[in-house]
Formats: sequence, C-alpha cells, structure tokens
Amino acid sequence: MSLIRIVELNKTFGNGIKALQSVSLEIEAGSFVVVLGPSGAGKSTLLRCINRLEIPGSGTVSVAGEELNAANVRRVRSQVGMVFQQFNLVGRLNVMTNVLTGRLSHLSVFEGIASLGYLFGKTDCQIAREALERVGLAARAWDRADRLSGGEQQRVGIARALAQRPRVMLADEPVASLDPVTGDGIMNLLKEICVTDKLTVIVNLHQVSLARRFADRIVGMNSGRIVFDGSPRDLNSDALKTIYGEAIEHEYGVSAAEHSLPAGRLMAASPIPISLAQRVL
Amino acid sequence: MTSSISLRWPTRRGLPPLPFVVGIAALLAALSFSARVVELDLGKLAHSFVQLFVFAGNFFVTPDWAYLPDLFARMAETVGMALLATTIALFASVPLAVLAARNATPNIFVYRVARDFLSVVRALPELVWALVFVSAVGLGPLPGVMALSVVTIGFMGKLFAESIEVVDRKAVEGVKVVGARWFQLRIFAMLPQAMPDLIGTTMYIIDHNIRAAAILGIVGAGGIGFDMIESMHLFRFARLILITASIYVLVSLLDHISPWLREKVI
Repeated sequence: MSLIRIVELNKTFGNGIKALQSVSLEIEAGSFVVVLGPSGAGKSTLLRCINRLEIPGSGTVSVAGEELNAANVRRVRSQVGMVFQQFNLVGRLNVMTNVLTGRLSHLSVFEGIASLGYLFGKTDCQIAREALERVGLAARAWDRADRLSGGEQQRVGIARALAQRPRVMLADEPVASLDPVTGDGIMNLLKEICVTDKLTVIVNLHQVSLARRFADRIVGMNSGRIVFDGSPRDLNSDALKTIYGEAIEHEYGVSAAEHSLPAGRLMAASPIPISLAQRVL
Repeated sequence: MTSSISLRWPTRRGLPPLPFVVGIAALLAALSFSARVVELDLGKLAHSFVQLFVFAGNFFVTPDWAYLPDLFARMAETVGMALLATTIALFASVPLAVLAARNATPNIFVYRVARDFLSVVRALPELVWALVFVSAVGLGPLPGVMALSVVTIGFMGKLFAESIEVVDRKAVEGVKVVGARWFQLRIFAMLPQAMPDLIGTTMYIIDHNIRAAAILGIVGAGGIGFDMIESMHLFRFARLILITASIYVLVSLLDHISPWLREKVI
C-alpha cells in the first residue's frame, strides 16, 4: 500500500484562485519525488495539504493509511518533516534549540511540561546532536540560528526535520533562496537521507535540471492539475511544454549537454546552441 | 530679471494630497478649539516666563544636608516600589499578553475579554488607583505598589500583545509543522521572537514607574511624593532642591544604564 494517498483534492482560495483541481496521487514509501511546475501551479498547496497546513476544500489525504483530519493533525505532523524555502527557523534561538523543537511532538507528558522551561531529556538531546552531525553542523550547535549562512540554515531546517525521525520529508522549494552550488549540496543531502534512511522525500522545485538529476519520479503540475507523472527519462521536450507552456523551448531548449543523461538520449533538436543550454540549465 | 520659480509637490496635479490637506485643516481646527477651551492667553504666557525665573531663584539656597539620610530612605522606597510593581506586572502581563494577541490567543472571545480588561485597567492614572488602594489598605508604600502594578499590567499587557502580534509567521509555521502543542508553540516560536521588544518595553516602563512612584506619595502611597508635596506647601526650598536633584540624578542614571543594558540583552 502506498505511503501517501491523495484522492480528488480540490482547493480554492478566497480570491477565487483554484489552487488544486481534482488532484490524485499515490506515493510509495522510500521514493524521491520531485513536483515540478511554474509559479502558481499549486505545488506548494499540494505539499501543504499533506501536513494540513492547508485544508483542502474537498478530497482526502492519507498518510500511512490514516486519513488526515483535525483530530490527528499533530500525530501525523510528528511523522512528517518539512523544510521550507525561507528555512522557517526561530532566529533568536540557537541551532541546538531549533533542532530540539523537532522532538516536541515525541515527548511524554512530564517531558512536555519540562520543555516549556526549555528543558530536554538526554535521549532527545542525543537525537538532536546526531541530526546535527548528520548535516555536518555539530560545531555550530550553540550559535544563534540567524548568524548562519543560508545554506547552513537550511541544513539546520533539515536537521530539525530529521530529529522528528519522520517517515516522510517534505521540501517546499528548499533551494530557491540558495546559490547553485549550495543548492546542489542540499539536494544531495536530501537524496542521501532518502536512500540511507529509506525516507519518502517529496520536493517542490522549479529547476528542471535539479529534478532530472535527483528524482526517481517527477510529477509535473500546471494550473492546479497534474499534467505529467513519470521518470526523469520521460521528461522530454513535449512533456516540458505541457508543464511550462511553449515558452520553455525558447528559454531552455533540451540538450544532451546535461551530463546526467545517457549518451544515446538526444532529445528533440533545438535551435539553441549547446553552450547556452548549458548555462541556463 | 525674469525667473519663475515653479515648485510642485510630487503628485499628479502638483498640489498636496487631499488627505494631507484635510489632516492639517483638522489639526488647526482642533488647536484653535483647544486654545479657547484652556483659555490660552499668549500675553499671560509671556509674563509667566518672568515669574518662572523669579520662582527658580528661590532654589538658590543652602540645601538642608541634615535631611539627606531621610531623603535616601525615601528615594530607596520609591525605587523599590517601582521595581517591585514592574516585576509583579511582568509576571502577570506575559500570560495576559498571549491571550490578548490575535495570533496567540486561543479564541476570539478570550481575546476580546483580555483586551478589554487591559484597557479598563489603563484608563485611570496611577494616582487615582493609589487613592483607591489607600482607602482600601491604608497609607504607606503597599497601596502605591498595588496601584503601580495594576496600571503597569495594563500597559505592559497591551505593548507585549502587540509585540507578539508582529512576530515572523514563518518561524511560527516552522515550529507548528513539527507537531508542537499549544504552549510549546508560544514558548518556542512566539515569545523568543518578541523578547527584544519585551525587554525594551520593560526598560521604558521602569523609567516611567520610577517617576510615577515619585508622586504617589502625594496621596499617601509611599515614596518621596509626600515629602515633596509637603516641602512645596511649606516652601522648604532647602529640601525641595535636594528632592528634585535626587530625582533628576536617578532618572539620568537610568538613561545611561538603559542603552548599555539593551545592547547586552538584545
């Protein structure tokens, strides 16, 4: 049975915008799924419905067989870690405290009360420390979170999610605020977590090249609907046009200069010289 | 020489914006109305400046040094009242502020009640509350502390609530999403972010409370106030000069400590 089942999800915002239209999706445990699409496609809304940050107008979301509703929100959220484009850390608190908040939903009643005084037990501190070591930031544990660079803050966000010991990791445009090199580092980290910890990872991206390099499965969205669902190999020029519209070919083209593509897979011929495609992709 | 100076405002017609003009007109109307009501007489005002200097001349007397020990005791009492009241108010205000902040309150009803409570408590000045408490518990610093606490809760509660309302929602979302419970969300995401504002507000309020405590003695609620009003009534300028000087020194000291402390903590 798939880990996440989304059935006929609909969501319309107050200003009339139809963010999700009849979206259905099933995600297997352990897969690395990238949701690709232009701005306003509904990628964020879809992801945020999985941990009920957005409440769908109609349709159901089930995580590990349990259908999400107002009653089990916190329980489901404890199993779902999320990483954000703007990191969403509490800047004034130090890195360790930020990561420790990942443990908040796993505390006993007594520990919960103690946490209100910022007190945490040894196991939780140990888990937090391990998460920090996993992302390579153990040395910065006591620095204020807002003193770290963007890439480091994102890794703290990932450590916080890891501290939850989740089954699912959601990432909403995790690298959009980072430079390409740092962004690559973060994507590599997410992929490594997926493979090693056997976590299900769902990432929203707008960069086609990153999707191609890291995804097991790409789900393309446009105007609130799923318009593509396949492996990166199937993401050819036509598929890209379905997701992004005609403009994509003029801007990006498709070329074999992408080092991750197998040599034999030359896509539809493009009038754009290879060097330009290399630069934009 | 023909030079035409044409100045214009940066709007479509070059004229000042309508809301601005209306605002200035309303201000002038309010000013002229108020001036009439308070019987503002510019002639009298000018004459009174001279009187002010004459009165100030009275202060150039030898201070009553024998009064110093009493003075220190009273000043200590004043500062003590202010600090105690501020501390009591601090403990009461933080939970109240959480209830009175739109993003932190459990429901709209509690929010309204908390907000209304805070405004009612702020409505009367400290002196009036001091009168109330003096008739309830008698003379001395206790009613003074009570009066100051009550009013301070009103101000701190309101200011803290507003600080909580403007915290970064993204950070709050980050903690919400890990499955934090109601209290944990406020302790880990909201209050830490509001902390610099809380501390700044507290320092401002300590400053205000010391001055407020200094006059509560007028109604018998402790502090230097009673000595001050008594000296004024009996024209004991030898004491009055010491009293005013000590208040000035105290407030200046606070002015110096405050930015240094702020820097350390924020």
